[in-house]
Amino acid sequence: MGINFDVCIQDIKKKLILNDQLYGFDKEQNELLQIIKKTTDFGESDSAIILGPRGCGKSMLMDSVIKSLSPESHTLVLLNGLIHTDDNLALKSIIQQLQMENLDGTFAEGSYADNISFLLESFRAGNKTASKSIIMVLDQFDMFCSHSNQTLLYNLFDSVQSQQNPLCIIGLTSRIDVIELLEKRVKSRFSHNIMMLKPLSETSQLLERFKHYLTINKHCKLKADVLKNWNNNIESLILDVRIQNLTKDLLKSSNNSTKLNQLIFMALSNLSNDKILTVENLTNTYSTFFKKDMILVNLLGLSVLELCLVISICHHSEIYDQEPFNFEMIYDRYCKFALRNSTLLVTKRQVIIKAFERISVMQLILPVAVIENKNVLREYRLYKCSVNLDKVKTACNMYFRLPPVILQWIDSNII
Amino acid sequence: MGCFVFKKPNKEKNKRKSKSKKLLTTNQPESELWHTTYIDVWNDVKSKIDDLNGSIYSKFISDTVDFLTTSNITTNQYILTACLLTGVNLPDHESLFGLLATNLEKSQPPVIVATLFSEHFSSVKNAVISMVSQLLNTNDDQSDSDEEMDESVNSVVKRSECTMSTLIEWYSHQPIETRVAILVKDYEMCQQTVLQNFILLLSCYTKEIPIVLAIGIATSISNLHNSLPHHVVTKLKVKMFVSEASVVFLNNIMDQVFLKPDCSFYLGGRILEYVTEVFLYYNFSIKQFIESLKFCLMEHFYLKPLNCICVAHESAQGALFDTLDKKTLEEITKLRSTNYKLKIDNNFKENFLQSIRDLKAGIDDFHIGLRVLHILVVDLPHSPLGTQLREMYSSAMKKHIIDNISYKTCLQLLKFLSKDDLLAKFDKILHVFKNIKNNKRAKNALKLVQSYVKRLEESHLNNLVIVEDKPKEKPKENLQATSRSQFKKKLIDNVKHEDSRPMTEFEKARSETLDHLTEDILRAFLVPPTTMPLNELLIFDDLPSIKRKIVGEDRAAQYTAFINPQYYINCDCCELEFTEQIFKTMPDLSIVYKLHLESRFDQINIYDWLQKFISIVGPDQNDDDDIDPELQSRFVRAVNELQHLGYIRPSRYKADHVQRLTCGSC
Amino acid sequence: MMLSKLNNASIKDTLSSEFPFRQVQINTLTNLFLNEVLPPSVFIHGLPSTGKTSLVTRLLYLLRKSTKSSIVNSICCYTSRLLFEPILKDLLEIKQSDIPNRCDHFMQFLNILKQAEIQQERVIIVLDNCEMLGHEQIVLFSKLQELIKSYQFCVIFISQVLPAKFDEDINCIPIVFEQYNSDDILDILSRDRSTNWSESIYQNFLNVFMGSFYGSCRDLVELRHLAKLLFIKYVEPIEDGSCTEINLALLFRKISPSIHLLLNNVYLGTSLENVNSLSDEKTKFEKLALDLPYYAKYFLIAAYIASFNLPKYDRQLFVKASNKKRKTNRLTNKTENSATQLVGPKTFSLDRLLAIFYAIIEENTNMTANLLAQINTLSDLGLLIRLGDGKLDTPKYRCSVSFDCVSNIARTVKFNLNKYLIDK
Repeated sequence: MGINFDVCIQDIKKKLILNDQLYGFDKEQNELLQIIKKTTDFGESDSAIILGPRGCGKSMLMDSVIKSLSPESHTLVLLNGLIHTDDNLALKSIIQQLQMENLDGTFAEGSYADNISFLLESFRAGNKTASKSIIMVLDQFDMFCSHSNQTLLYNLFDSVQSQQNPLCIIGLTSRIDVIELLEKRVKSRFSHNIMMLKPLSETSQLLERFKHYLTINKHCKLKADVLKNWNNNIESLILDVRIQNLTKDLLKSSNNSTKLNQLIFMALSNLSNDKILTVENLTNTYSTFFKKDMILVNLLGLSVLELCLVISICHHSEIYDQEPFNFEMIYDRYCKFALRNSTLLVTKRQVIIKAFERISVMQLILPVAVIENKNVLREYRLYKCSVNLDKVKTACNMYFRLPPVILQWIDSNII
Repeated sequence: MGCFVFKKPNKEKNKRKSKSKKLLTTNQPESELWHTTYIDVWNDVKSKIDDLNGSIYSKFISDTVDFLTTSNITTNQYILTACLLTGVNLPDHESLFGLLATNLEKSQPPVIVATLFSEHFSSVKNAVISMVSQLLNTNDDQSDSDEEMDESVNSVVKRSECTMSTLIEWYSHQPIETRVAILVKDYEMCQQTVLQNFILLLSCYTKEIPIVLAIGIATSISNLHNSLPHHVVTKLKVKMFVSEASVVFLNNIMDQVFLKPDCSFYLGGRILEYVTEVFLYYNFSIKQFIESLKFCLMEHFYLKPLNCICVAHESAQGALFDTLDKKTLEEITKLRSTNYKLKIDNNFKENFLQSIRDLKAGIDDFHIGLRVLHILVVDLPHSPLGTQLREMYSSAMKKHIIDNISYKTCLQLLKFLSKDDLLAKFDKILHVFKNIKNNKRAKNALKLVQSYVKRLEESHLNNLVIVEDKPKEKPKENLQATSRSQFKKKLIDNVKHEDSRPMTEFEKARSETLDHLTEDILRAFLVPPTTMPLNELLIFDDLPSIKRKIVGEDRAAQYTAFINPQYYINCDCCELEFTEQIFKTMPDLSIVYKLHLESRFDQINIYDWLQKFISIVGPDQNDDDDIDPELQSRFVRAVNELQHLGYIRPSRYKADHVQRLTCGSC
Repeated sequence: MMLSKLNNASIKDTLSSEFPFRQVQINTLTNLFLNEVLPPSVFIHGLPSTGKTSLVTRLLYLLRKSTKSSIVNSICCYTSRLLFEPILKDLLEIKQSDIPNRCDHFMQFLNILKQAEIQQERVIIVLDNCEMLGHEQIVLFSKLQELIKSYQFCVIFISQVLPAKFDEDINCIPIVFEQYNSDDILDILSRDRSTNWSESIYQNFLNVFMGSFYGSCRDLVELRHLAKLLFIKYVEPIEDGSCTEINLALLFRKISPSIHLLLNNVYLGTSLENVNSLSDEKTKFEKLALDLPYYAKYFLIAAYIASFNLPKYDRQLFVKASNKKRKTNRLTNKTENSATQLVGPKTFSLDRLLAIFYAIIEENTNMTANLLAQINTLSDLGLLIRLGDGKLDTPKYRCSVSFDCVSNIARTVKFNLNKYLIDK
């Protein structure tokens, strides 16, 4: 039985990773389908952009629409702005995905100009009725806009306009100002079909997903009582007030379900031997993985010397209103403090500068100029602070055996 | 005929070269003589210097090589790093690292070396590429390991293929226990972030390849520790190696090569002082020091057949002398040091050769005396004569050192030495004399010193010597002095005399032997060769002629070139009567420069300038307003050159004006 | 189920015994990776030397039978090709030369992986020091599972940097490696005891050691090294018989100079060979540091004066006729660390440097090429910093040495530096 049960758990995990179930967006789905159908069925080229925040289900929506079409009706070309970082790569990929490279020998190896003229030639060769329609999905559409001159976009949209080979271009992006990114000549050729997807905003929606993920399907080869037991447990979990609070919390930090997926994934991984997902399982996982204050953990991991430097930094930032600082200033401040308190060892400057550098490697402080300027000495390089005093205070209170003078010092920045 | 075998990137040199070539065509036989002599002497000196260099560096190098090759690197957690503190004499480092690299390559287990310079550290990619290409390609053709640049050009492995993974693959074909040494020549000049990342990168591969590192640091070790952040430092295991200070090298080279009688090139005191000053005050560079001495050598022989004859072997001197023409012979008689005693007569040749022999003997004696002197005074407190042989040499060359006040202080100090110390010194002196063959005076001196030693040894430390009363009376009568200062001095003298305790036997012997040594031996031996006849022919002391050539004064040279172009181009047409004079025949640049000096203001109107220019270079009777385009273009070119040289720049405030960047008439 | 329960348990046990005080992290990692379905990406974060890389490396080694893995240190990937090709080499188990084409782009990388049917296998890619990679690359790798479409594909990021820096774009499971606390470190250090010495001696030593060093350093690697260096020194009196094991006070007295010496060199520990090397050679080096040619010393002094004085005071200071009184008045106003010291040296032009140089140097020297070359030598040595993108006409400089260094140099040429420094 154990093995079967494990298989079920693994299935749930797969489901979590795959994340292919579309929730809501029925209206949008229909709308998109209409647009694409126009291309596939009637040979009318068109373009559209789907807009929505990260993780709200843009790709899922796209997938579900594509899935509902018959595979013979179209050729699908998928591009991703992250992967296809310039026009040339994108073009090669288009040619590959259209399986045109076999037509004429080594075209994919050819120059950019060759490739684009070849592609446009092919588009032109097609016609509304006879040719197979092409659906082109541009994920991370905004990144294509940064390609030089937006040549590819221009040509693609131009082919859409000129009604050659049926072509449907769908852009997916999370940037709300995406239209502004387009050059004028590109913008004018775009159909201005924009579909906005709203992120989920209700805990009930999240809980629904929660239930959906975790419910074990009846087709599983699992003993009926185990199955029933598990599913009942899930039902009761959803009703539990702690879980509801948890989902509220999640929703506050991000308005998509990826965090939830991760949470369930981790909880399932940590599942103990009694094969029941408990409330504690979930809340514990949540607090260890998502609630943990990383900065606090980092601060607690510093040595006393490093912590003192961080305190100096915070004091400095407070007094000078977040002005950038350099090592000399911090060293000066630290020395004044250390000299007043004989209980602390006054350490050599060379040690302190090493400690300072360690803090900067951990990126608790960040250099003001990103490019390191060779002309500026290390001691005088300017930094900004990325932690605030309150956090440092909390850290000091929690710090294991911190000398009391430091605790006093932190509250008085006057030296 | 290639007259300059050695290439030297020196501006003056090039100038000379063209000049000498012109002259060479006229006097061929002589030029061959001076040149071959120069080459012979220089090769002799050079080989000595090389030997010396090898021996001085040898400990430093062998220590480093030992550390890099034999230290245990099985832990492969750290990169074994030798920090070579090489001092600030940057020009010498190249040879040092070259030596280190060749020594490493010879060692067992085999080590393959790549040397990286600061220019390779423009990016990590560059550093890795040049490292890998050096490593891979030295192994492929060991025959031509001349320069890295050449190798990377005709490298077998393409630059794009020079990555760490190719290196790993290559390493798997190497003999077992081969190490890879990476030498970073000038740490301070490298881009720090790149170097840090490079070190981190190397540390990722220590498991696959035993990499060792040698970093050359010119300033101080704290520089390394301070500039590497902690996460980089943890990747290194550092051991420091300190090379000798470059002054030590200088002293060694002087003592062992140039200040030895067997060196056929003798330096005068002033020259020596000057080149050491350049060394100590400016750059600490042995390489430049040797180069400047080389230049002196060249200057000494250049077109001076007499100088060459003096250096030649005695058997050949007669024959060479016969080749001289009359003019040269007359030159000899005009030499100041001869006191006009040499006359062109039948015995002229004999007399000349004899005085040369005498001079040489004198120089030999001088060197012996110098060494004796050095032994005597080297460790005296406050070292009145300096501690180095070269310091004594240069002062002894100028004037008889025995008459020097500092020597008197030395003598006084010597008279306080204990018996053991003094005997030790005498022992060393004996050693010096014993090593000298075929020298009568040295033999006599040896006998004398032996007698001193005997006397000192026999003298007792405690036996008092009965002092006669006579000298006690003497000072008292002198008390009536003419002036107050004299009176005071005499009083002090008297006090001294009265104060002096009765001397012991040893003390008496000590004082007397030292006086004898001074008067009988040192006075004879330390006769400055510069006072001997014909010394100009053997000793090079012509400071004014080489001063500018050793240390270039580029601004002054430019100034002369502008103001008095004839100085360099040797034309007949531009002879100046006064400096402000401008001739039509002068180079355009010179004319333009002189005109711009005439401007009283900071800003110069180009049009006015052009007019003046045309009034000088243009045809005499020109009254129409049209400007000859050829003249205008000449003017523009000259102005541009002046701007290029940094004397003017386009004005920011006025159109058609340029701004003078220099002030006054310089 | 591919992995037997038994095997899993043994892996867990091995890791727990090898990595003390890492139980939580081991549990999480094994729970995640001893399963059929792998998470898309994991972000391991922790301060330096908390065992991140070694633990992951060991885990993957133990899993090597069932899982293909590739560990890449991002510092080595200065081009994207050097990131992709090593991974391909490891995963496809081929040689460098067998990679069909250059793999410069992620697209090619993805294609090759897809063609190799990597979906069939369990694969873990580790990107160590991932903060060195470009942001896009991190995002892409975090989505690699989705792009490959495999449940058995995972990317592990390891970094000292807070995951929050990347959090917006990547959805990773964060795992924190917490810093060891003092008790943990004490425990770990006590495992290093060599068998020649009894536990009590070593424990006593560690108490002394931790008391002095824990305040300034919590880095385990560093502390282990320092402890090793110091312990040799600590037992010296016991070895030569001048002190007994139980006389803790005497032992402490004997060791404290070494402790003091080493305390000034914390964070250099691993690069040092032994405590002695530090004390012997220190003085020798300092001497050598001052070994500059005569004029170079004056140039450096002049540069320091130019860097820390405002140009408007030059006239007062260097014109010979100016009265000395005002200078001394100013000196009394001088504060220990005034604002100029904190902001750092100011730039000055070559002309000003030369003017000050000629003002402070007693003898008359010609401005020769050698003299001017000194300035470049100094900047090659990093004692001066040359500014202004290498233009010939107006070079600017800045002095980069500390006051201590310059005043030492001034002392060797008997130059009164303080007379010429107006602070403020």
